[in-house]
Amino acid sequence: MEQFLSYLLPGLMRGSVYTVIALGFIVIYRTTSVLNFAQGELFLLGAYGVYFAIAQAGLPAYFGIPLAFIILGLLGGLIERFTLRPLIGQPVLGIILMTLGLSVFLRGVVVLIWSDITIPVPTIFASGGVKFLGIILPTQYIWFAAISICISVILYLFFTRFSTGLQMTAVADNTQLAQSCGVSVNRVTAAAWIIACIITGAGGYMLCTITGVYPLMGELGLRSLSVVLAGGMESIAGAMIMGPVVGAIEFVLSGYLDPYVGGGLRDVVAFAVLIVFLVFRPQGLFGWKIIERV
Amino acid sequence: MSIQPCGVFNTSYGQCMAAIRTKNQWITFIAFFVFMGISPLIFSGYTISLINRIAIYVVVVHGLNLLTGYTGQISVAQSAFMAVGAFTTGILSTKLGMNLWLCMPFAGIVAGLIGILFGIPSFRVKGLYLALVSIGAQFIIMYVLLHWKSLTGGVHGIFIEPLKLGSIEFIGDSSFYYVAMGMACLVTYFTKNIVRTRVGRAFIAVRDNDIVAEFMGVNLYLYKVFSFFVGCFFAGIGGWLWACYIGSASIDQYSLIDSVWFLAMVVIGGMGSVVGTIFGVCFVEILRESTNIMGPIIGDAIPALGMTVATALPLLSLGVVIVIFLIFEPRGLAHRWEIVKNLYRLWPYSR
Repeated sequence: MEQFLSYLLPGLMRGSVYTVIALGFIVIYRTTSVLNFAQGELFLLGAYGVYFAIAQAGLPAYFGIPLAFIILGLLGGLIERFTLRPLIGQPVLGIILMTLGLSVFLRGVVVLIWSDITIPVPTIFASGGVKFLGIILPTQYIWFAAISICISVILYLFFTRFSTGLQMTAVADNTQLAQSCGVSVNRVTAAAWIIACIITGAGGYMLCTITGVYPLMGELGLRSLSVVLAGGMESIAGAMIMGPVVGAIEFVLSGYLDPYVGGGLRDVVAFAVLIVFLVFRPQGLFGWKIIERV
Repeated sequence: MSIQPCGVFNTSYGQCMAAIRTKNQWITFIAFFVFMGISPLIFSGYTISLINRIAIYVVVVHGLNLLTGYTGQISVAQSAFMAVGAFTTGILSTKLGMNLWLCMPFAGIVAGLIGILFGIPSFRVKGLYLALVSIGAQFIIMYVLLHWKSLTGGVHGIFIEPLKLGSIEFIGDSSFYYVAMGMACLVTYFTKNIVRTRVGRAFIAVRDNDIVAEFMGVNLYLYKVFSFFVGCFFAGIGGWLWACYIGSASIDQYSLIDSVWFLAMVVIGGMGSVVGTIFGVCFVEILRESTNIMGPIIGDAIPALGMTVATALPLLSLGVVIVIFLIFEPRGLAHRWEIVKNLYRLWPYSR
């Protein structure tokens, strides 16, 4: 039992970082029906940006971290304006390839600036642990869970209470109707990209304080695709619940099965979850039931 | 295809359906083969190695073009299926002592069957969701190949003996050239014919409107399965070629980013065009080669950037090319080629 808990609890808490990254996917998908495969690289840029601001530029953390995220948000706005807006109305393959191309390009930028070695990211979370149910939990995991819940709640309120958030939902639901009611689709789309980039960057920063950051980490960002899909592509609550669940599945399965399969199971469990959901319940657990079916 | 030169009249169905129709086309066709046959004697080993790579990728990308360009089933896992072909070759030739030539159909069939396995979700979902399945497939296949150590050798991969035919050893660039180019021509011929028969028209119908296609009597499941099989079969054959070419099957050559390169080749060449695939592969491969050459030179010229520029430059250039093509010419190089061809044919009335 104790062993099970020692896999389950860190899994749940680390999975909450997947929730944060998944929220980045969801904000963009909800508004523009673009699934952003460059999310993994935005996730990297969050970690590298903070590293640059604090370790390389020498700014204090309370100033450097917000600055890095603001710049990342602006970058998101630029990406939307110059690469995705010209593609409105194009077939879905073009949009997928555009985000894939962006991810390749951003990875190139990262490699060019910071090389491809592992860099330790300066942390603002206290080290040490808390004993809970007989398991020692690292303090930073508790911070992750708290931050993830905060971001989810804020986003939920944003989408249900604030006018920009409501406009985003309107654009997602029916772009032309929203436009004829006076919603500026361009402004709303740009806002979605800015918000998504900031959220994803925050997720990337949190995860990379544990592992350090290197360019191939970007593929780790793709793992949270399974969270997006399992929770439902538009559902914030879905991501909030499925993030920890997927994290827990990863940790528990790899904890018990790794000795038999030679390790590294954690890298693919999320993708197996993804495929299982796509086959049996493509709209996810909490999604809007408007999936394209054949 | 659309506009025939002056003086070409169809007097029989056979003539109407022939791929090569005019005297000039025959002359170019034969001249091309003669040129291809003697090119190892003309070009240096370096150029031949580039041509070999292009030939192998043409085989792989024809498969992806059938799957994505013609049938509209997005796949970001082509390099994983290539790896399946390569490792099947390695396992069959080392563990079972099978002749390498005999391994080729097996490499294709195993890759094709695994392709069908990951194509099954395509009965329920399409578009975006299918792209997600294929990303999952890429990671899961590579994980299995890496961790099934008793069979695949894990990170070390499998060493493969050079390809032999009688007493001729296909080792080194200029002799392997004939194998690679032969396969590329064969696969191009096969693809060209598949897309202008019933099967190809069914593929296009499935892509353009699957519901209508089913209504018109196209068996959706059958053709989707067949498309996945053929697409991955070609990837497997490409994997066999690649494994024989470099003499080993190893994990690190088939990553997600390679799949993105393949998809970029399809889109840059022009989706749903056989000649476009060849253009796309040539364009992207030459781009990659020139960035590989330029990288160290720029690194030397601007020391502030350091040597990382050599790793970053191919990625940067690929990203930029994809973005530019998608914005300015989503129909790819094949469409440009069509314009140039019609301009020439209709001259002086081409304006």
